[in-house]
Amino acid sequence: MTDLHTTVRISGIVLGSLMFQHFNSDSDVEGFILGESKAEERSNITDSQMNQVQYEHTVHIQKHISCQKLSSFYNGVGEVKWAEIKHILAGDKKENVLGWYRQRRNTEQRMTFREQVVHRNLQRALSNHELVFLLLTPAKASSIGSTHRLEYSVFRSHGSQYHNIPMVVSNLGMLEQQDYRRSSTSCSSSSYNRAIKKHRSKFFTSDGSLKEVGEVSAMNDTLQAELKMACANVEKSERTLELLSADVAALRKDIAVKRSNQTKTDLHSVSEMPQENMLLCAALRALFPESPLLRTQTLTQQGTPLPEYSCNVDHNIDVPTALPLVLAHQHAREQRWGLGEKGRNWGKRRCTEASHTTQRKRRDILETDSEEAITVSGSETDEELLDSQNINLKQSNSPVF
Amino acid sequence: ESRSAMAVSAVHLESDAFLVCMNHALSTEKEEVMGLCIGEVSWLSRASLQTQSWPHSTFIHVVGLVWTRQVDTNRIVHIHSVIILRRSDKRKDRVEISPEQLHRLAEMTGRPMRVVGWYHSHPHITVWPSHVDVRTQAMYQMMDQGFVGLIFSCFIEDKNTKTGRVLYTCFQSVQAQKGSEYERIEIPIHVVPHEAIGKVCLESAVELPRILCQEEQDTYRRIHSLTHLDPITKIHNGSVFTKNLCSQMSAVSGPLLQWLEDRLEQNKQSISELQKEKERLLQELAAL
Repeated sequence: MTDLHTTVRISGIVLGSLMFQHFNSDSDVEGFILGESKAEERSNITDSQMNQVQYEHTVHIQKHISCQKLSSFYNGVGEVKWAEIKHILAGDKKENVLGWYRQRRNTEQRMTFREQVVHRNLQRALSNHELVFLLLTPAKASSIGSTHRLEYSVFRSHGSQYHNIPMVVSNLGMLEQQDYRRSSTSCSSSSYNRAIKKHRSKFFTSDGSLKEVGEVSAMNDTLQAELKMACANVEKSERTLELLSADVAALRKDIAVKRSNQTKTDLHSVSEMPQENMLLCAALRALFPESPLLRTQTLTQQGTPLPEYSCNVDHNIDVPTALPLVLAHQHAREQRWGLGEKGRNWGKRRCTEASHTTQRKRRDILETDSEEAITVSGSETDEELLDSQNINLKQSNSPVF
Repeated sequence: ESRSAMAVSAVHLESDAFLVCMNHALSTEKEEVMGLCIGEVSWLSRASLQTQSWPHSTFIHVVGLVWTRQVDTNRIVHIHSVIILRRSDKRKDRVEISPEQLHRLAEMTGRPMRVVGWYHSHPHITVWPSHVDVRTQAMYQMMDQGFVGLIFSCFIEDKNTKTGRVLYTCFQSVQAQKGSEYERIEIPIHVVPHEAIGKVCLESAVELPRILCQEEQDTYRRIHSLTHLDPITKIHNGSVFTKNLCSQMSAVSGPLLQWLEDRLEQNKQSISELQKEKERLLQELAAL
C-alpha cells in the first residue's frame, strides 16, 4: 500500500517578498517560483501492515521571479511563448522552475479557465507534470479597511482536475527550542566517571567552555558578516535603481511634452498656411482657365468652394515640360470630340441648357462615371457652378437630424 | 462622541516596512514577536458640516443650511520603518531594548521621525487584539494619543480547503466612560507602494538573525554558568545551543541571505535595462 503526501514549503521572507511585489503594483502580478523538489520513500512496518510505503514529496519554494507585465509569457489563448520564458528566467535553469504564481485582489481561491490552460501548456513546455500554481488573493476583511486578509494556496493538476496542496511557511517554531537542562542527576559509578574523564578533553577547552559552542558561534558570526555585506550591496543597488528610474521617468515626461508642443506647432502652421500643390494649380489653370474656383483649397462645411481663396498666382511652371501627359490628353480629347472653336461654342450652348437643368445633371454626374459627364460638368462656368451650389444648398439632399 | 478630536483617521504603512514586519511575524509560529513602528504624523484639516452647536463656533446661515466653522484635526500616521525588539520574559507590556537597538533607534529617529506605534504577531490566533493587548495599547496612548497598534495573524490554515491565511489589522483603544473597560476601535490601514527598499528597512530586516542569535547566546550563558552541572549535561546543553543556532541559520539567516542575493541580481538586471532605456530616450530627446 502506498501513500503519497505532498507538502509545499516556503520561507517567510519569500512570502513577504511576494506580498511586497503586489503592494507595489496596481494590477495583478504574476511570475515564476523556483526551488527544489525532493521525494522520500519511507517504509513502515506495523503489526497490521507489512509493506506500508509512504512517499513524502516536498516542494521547497526558495525564490520567485516576477514578470514585468501581465500575459508576457503567454498569448490570448493561453499558448506559452518559450522565448519569453527563457528571457524571464535569464540565468536560472529550467529544472529549478517549480511552477508559476499569480496574485489577484478580491477574487476567489480558484483557478480561472485561462490559468488552467496556461498551466497545462507550461507543463508541456517545461516538461514537468509536477508543475504547481501558487495563487495569492488579498482582500479587505473589514469595510473601513482596518483589517486585510491574504489567502494563498498551491494547485496541481491530476489529469483534468486541479487539487489544492497545503503550503507551509518554514519557521523557527517548527523545531523545539527550549531543551536546555538546568539540573542534572549525579552518578556515583566510578567506571562511568572514568569513561567520561577519558574523553572530556575532546569536548571542553582549558577554560571549561565547550569547543562545539565556540565553533558554531564563530560560523554564525561569519554568516552575520555575510548578511551585513549583502545588505550593504543591495542597499547600494536600490539607491542606484531609484535614481535611474527617476531619470527615465523625467526623460519620458520631457519627450511627451516636447512631442505635444511640436504637434501643436504643426497643427497651428497647417491651419495658418496650407501647403499648396503648385503643379496641380498649374495643371488646373492650363486645363480649366475659365474656372478659378477649381484652384481653391478652402471649402465651406457644405462643400462650396470659396472664391476669395482661389489661387491666382502664376507659379511660372511650364506645363508642357513639367506635366506633358496632361496637355497631351487634352489635345487627344479635342481631336476626338472635335472641340476647339466649335467645341467652345457647343460648350457655351450646352451651358445655356445646363443652367436650366444643372440640378438634374449634377445628379447624373454623381450617378455615372462617364467621360462625357465629366466633360459636360467641366464646361460649366464658375458663376453657374456657384448658383447651382446655392440651389443645392437650399434643397439639400443631405440627411437632417 | 467619546473619541477625542485628536483621533487617528488612517495609517499609511510603506510596503518595505510591511515586508520587515511580515518577515518578523513569519519567523516563528511558537511565540508572539513584537517591534516598534517608526514614522511621522501628518495632519488632515477639514471643516466639518454639523448640525450640533459648539461653544466656540460661529453659526453662518446659508440658504437654509446651518454649518459650523469648527475645524477637526485628524492625524494620518505614516510608518516608514520598524525596529525589531526582544521581549523581556515574553511580556508585551515589557520591552527590552538592547544597547545596539537603542543606538539604532536613536539613529532612525530625530525630526520628523519618531516612534508612532507598535506591532506584534498572533501565530495561530485570531487577528483581533486580546484584552491584554487593548490594555497595553491604552497604556501607550497615555504617553501619546496618536500611538497605533498593528497585529499580524499568521500560520492560519483552513483544513477543509487547504488554504493558508495571513491577516493584519490596525487599532487603538478607547474607554466608553471613565472607569469602564477599554475597547478597541478600528483604524483604516493602507499599505502604500514603495518600490525601492529603504536603507533603514534593509538594516532592520538583517537585525532579526542577529537578535535571535543574541537571545540564544544569553540563554546559553545563563545555563552554562550553573556550575553544579555534570559534564554530560553540559555537553547536552552545548548540543542544544548548536542545534538551535543551526535552525536559526537554516530557517532565517539562509533564506534571508538568498533573498538578498536574488534581489541584488534582479536589481542589476533592472539597472542594465534602465540604462539602455535611458540612452535610447536621450537619443530620442536629442532628435526632437
